[in-house]
Amino acid sequence: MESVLKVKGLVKRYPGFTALNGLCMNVPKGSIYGFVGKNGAGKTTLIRVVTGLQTATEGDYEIFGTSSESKDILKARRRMGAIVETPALFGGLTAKDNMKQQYLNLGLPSYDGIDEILELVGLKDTGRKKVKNFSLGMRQRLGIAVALCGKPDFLILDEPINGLDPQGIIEMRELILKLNKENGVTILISSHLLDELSRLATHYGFIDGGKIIKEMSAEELEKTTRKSTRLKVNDTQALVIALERLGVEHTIIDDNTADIFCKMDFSDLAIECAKDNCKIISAEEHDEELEGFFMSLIGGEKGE
Amino acid sequence: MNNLLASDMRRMVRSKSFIWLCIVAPAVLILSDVIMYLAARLIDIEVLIESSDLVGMFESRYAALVTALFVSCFLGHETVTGCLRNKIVCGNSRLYCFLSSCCCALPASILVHISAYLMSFVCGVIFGQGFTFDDTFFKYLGLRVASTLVLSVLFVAITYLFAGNNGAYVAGGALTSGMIIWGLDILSKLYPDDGIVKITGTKLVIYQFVDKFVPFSYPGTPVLRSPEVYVMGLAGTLVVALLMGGLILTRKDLK
Repeated sequence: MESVLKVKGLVKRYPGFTALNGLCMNVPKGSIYGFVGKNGAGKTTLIRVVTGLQTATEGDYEIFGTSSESKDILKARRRMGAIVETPALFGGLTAKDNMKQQYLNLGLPSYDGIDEILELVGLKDTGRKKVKNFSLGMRQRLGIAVALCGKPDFLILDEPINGLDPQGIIEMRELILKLNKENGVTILISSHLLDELSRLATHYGFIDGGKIIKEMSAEELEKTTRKSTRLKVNDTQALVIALERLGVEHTIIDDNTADIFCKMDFSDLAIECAKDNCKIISAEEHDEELEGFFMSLIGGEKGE
Repeated sequence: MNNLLASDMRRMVRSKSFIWLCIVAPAVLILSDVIMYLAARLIDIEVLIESSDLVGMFESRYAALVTALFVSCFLGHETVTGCLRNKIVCGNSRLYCFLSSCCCALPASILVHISAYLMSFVCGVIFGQGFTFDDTFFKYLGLRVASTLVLSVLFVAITYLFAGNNGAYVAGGALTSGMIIWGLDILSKLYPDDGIVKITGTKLVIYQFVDKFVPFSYPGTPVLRSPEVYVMGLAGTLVVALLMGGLILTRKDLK
């Protein structure tokens, strides 16, 4: 499969700290690549290196097949847009003026397309309102709009939904899916909001300790992980006795919550629970496959 | 690099710091001239103020300081808010980013001089007693402009060195203020009223070096040196500024 970004043995050392430790990864063309890792795992450092804000200590990477060692890497970056950490915007300018600045940075011959991009991100009607008066969600969307200047083929979004309200998260998700499906933009999203990422990503890269510990597609992840049912009960100790009698695999979350890992007849479970004075308050399919898989990966690595 | 220059110029003419540069800074200059005039009148009502004393009284050091503050505000904002990232991420080289910023600082420093001289002439006509310019004034004019141009490149380099933290806002202004204050001490020590220099050793060497080769001192130096000294000082500072900006900045990790 053709790769938009290929990273080979990337190392980034700061004094007394190694942020990237021989990281290798491939971002397939046309994918939404979920870049998953806890804080300090090296996600933002990798993004900074790839976007040219920092230089790698060792190793190299390719963007659209152009090596980072090549002088043409600057040309390859022209096909790329990025938000690194927070959107970089001029607060004293309007949304349209910020877009014009980026058009000039790119050396585009005219301002054609600015209105279309602002409409795409839902900021067409901001008029003369200055960016410093924008809400966080509006800034995030404008950040994406700036990153979309020049119609990039590859978009890097570092924690794009951090701080957004539920409505903003939904809008951001729809925007990302639209860009990927309708415009064919390959998107790398770094996030630790796994539930949200699982709704978007077609591929995953799990990073810990400055290296990728697993890369896989969403289909592979689904095959690897199990669905669980999350039970709310009045007494998990009594529930455990009932589940052990039934031979059902389970995990206790807290005093009133447990996950069970099998498809079963819940009337049978309810009868068994009643024998031990355990009341089932609620039962729902719990979509924590990505979260659970990530935790098992991190735990596995630490145990080695 | 043309695209970056167009971007920087467009932003410059829309920035608040540029409005300050064009309007508020000359207003401050007028105010200082008015205060000087009023002070002179209060001390001795009969005093005669030469217009040429007013013109050129403040503009040299003032131009360096205003240029430093402008560059710090204009470029510091870009580096601290992270907008410099937008240029680099989309494939512009850091060297071009630096050179483009220098190209913006140069016309700004020229503008400072034009506005400062215009305001000074206006003040000279209003408050002074007629113009009696001598050759020295015009000889210094080119030197003052050249000094500020070179210093503006130095301020750009200093601002970029602090890219990413708030030091970018204050480094240039702090350096200029420090050099102005130090420069007064250097002048009094190297050119005392009695004509006898009392400092010796390393301190004397350092003071003479700064006086000769560091452009901050040029506008205030009462002795017109040989052109070679000025050329060496300006060229040396320019090389240091370009090396700082061009070499260190291209290797700096940006956030």
